[in-house]
Amino acid sequence: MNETGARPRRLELGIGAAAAALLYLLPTAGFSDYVMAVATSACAYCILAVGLNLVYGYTGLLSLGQVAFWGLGAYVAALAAVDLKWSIWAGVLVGGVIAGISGIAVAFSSLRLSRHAFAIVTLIFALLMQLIARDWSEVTRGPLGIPALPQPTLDLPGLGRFVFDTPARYYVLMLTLALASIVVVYSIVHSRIGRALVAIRDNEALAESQGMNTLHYKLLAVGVSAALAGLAGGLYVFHLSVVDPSIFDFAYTEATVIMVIVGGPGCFWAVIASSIGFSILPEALRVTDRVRYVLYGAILVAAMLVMPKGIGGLLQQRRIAAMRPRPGQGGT
Amino acid sequence: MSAAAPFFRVSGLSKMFSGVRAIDDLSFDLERGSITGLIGPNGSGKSTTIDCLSRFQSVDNGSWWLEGRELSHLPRHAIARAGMSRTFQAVRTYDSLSLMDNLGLAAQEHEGVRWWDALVHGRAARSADDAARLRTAELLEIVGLTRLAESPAAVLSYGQRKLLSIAAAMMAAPKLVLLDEPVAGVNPTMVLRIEALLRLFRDRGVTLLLVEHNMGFVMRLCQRVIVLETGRILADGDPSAVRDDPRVLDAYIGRSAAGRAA
Amino acid sequence: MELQYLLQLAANGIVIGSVYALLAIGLSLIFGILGVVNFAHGEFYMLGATATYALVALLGLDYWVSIVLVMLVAAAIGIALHDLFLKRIGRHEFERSMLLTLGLAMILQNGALAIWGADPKFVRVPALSGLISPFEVRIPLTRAAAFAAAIAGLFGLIYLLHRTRLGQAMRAVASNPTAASVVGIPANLIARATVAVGLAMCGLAGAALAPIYTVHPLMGTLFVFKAFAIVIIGGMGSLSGAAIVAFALGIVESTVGAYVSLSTTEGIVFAVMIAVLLFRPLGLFGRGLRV
Repeated sequence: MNETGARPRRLELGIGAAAAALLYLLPTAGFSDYVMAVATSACAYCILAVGLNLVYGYTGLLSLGQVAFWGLGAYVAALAAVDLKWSIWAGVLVGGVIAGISGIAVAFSSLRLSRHAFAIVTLIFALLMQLIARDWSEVTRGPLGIPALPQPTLDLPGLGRFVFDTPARYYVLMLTLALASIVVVYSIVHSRIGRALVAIRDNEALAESQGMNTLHYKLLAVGVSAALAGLAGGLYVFHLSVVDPSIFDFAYTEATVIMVIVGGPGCFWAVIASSIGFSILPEALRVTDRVRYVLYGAILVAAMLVMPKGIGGLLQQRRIAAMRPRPGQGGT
Repeated sequence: MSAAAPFFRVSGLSKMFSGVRAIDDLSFDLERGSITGLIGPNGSGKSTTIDCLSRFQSVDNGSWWLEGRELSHLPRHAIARAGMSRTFQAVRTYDSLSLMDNLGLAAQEHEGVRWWDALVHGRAARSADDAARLRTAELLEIVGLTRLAESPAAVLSYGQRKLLSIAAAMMAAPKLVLLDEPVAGVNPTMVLRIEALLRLFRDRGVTLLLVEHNMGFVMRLCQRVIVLETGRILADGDPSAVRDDPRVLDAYIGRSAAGRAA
Repeated sequence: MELQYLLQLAANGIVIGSVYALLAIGLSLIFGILGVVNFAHGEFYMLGATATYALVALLGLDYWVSIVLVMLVAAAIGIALHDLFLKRIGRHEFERSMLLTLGLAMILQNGALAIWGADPKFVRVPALSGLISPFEVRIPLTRAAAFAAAIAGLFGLIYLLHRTRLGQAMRAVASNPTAASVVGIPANLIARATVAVGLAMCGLAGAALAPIYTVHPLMGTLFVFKAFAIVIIGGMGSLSGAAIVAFALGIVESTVGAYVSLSTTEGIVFAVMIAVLLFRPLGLFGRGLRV
């Protein structure tokens, strides 16, 4: 099973490109604004899930603080646009960078201790961020947040000014970021870097004894996923046109975790499919928020008891079992 | 360092575990290209020595040098890059990765490929991959696992994993390899296979220090045997001399005799 | 006057601290003995408070009887929790235990929201209206009762851990999980007892605070994070450390919280927790003070 380290296969790239083209054409199908909004949030969750998969699925580090970086990117972008009058694009970019750096800082300080410390510190960090957003009113405007955020505009030379003011146009923006994130994480995962991350997950002591500076790789994984989350948050918040402390709600973390667990930690496409599924399904089934999270909880419990590797993991196990030499066949 | 610097030197190694001296002022040198066995009754500090030398255990005191370069304060991964690799008593492999990847990883950090280059599969990455692939194929051939090259390590039997882990330890052309009970728990055929394997690597210039309980294996393979007892060197010499040393017999047998009397 | 005010605040703090101690010790026990990080700990506290509301306000039962009932039911639920879920998770499967209990917390919290809504409920105990004034410090009877209940619970716990074979076995397992299988009491029984005791403490805490604070489905979340903070600052595995930090936290929250906003005090607590994790990972009392 040479999943990591192998160069991207032509078939996968081809299918990916075709799928991407189709997704871009989605707005032309005349769906309602509501559908477009759901699609936009699906893109956002996709980015969060892919990032968490990189950190937890591939590297084995449970991070319960993705939402902290998502929210941090959101606030930075919003504040840059409103207080500093920067262009939205610059604000989002800086939000992503700051989120990435915070991720590295949190990881660096806690990973020297253990993965467990990392899990708890990321959790508390997310809580702290929410508290700061609520309390540091001078900067964050407190519990009510910053309303009436401007809309992103793009000045194309010769083509005039393009304003992203409809859900359909926003979807295209979010889709672009999602596809870019997928490409970035795909490249990492299918390179020798990705192979190193899996090595860390599978047997860190062995990796260290083979000359690997595991801390560097872990910081890379966390930094990339935090930056992507920050970019996503920064971009998404202009779609919401308001940013308030609820951007740091633990519910985002819960949903993202479910997506990764059900898809299968370390399974690339399964997690993407899972994130889209979990974004669309509750809307399609019209369940209330509360019932949705009860179901998520039940799924999480069931998964931990029965299927901790998710659907993708189950498929992988079948493949491995099929490969095992049958008794009496070679070997020792 | 002077021209007479030993290939590998350990000096004053000491380690205490909750009041018990696991290793007590241990000092010895190793010659280049030798195979040395480290034996002793249970609790004599053998595995602890390997853990300390590879920095998987902290030491209370002591230093050690490889080809004149001090390793005592280097982080684990730097020790590997300095040319010392090891295997583990509880065999370690990357279960979800293929055998090729298992071996590829063992060499990966020694190839000096930059992250950016790795990400875009640039020239440096590709040529490193090609070189690694050749070496991997050769090693898999030597240990007889070519047929399973693309399979995940999870499908291997225990003995096959031992072979894989030894191959991995050799992958980055190490100068010194520490082997922690390389034949523990394997059937007699496999013991001979591993013995031949280690002899082959010695012939290629790798120096070996191995910890083992299997006396026959140690006596056949090693040119020199160091016997530890309660963290100190009890005897040190060629296998037949050590085997006949009454103090060594006493340490192994005398102990159980004392136990029976008590 | 200033001193009087501070004493007043400190008294409040000690009361709340005693309840924090119940929660933190339960959490620490479950982690120390089963190796499970119980994310759902706060939700069981919430259920304890909710059950007390149901028994006292809806069914009109006597308050003290309700407390005992709630503790018994909580202990039973604890046994069920262990047998159905926690038993299947190994000591070293840290992420699995965290995610499992997180899932349970999600079910309990959102289930409670779905069933009872987010409106806060009030538990009024007529027998506890009024206050006592030792040393000119005014303490509402509800708080005095909560303190009494919590202290009773803590003493009960100390008795269990030091004077019973089961308790000694629990302590043995907590300090040396691998050697403790020699203790003579089956590991399964010890694990069950631990979860039962831990959850009983949650139930007691919920029942004790129900007349003081409002009862609503979200009350558990903040408490569980504080309990985490207490256990980490006090040192994993040190029960007396947890108790000390719990009381300290209660007092600090109460005194500092009078001058600074609530969010800021919480923020400080979490910041301290992160600092302790980074600079003194064994906690302030870790390994030093063991119960």
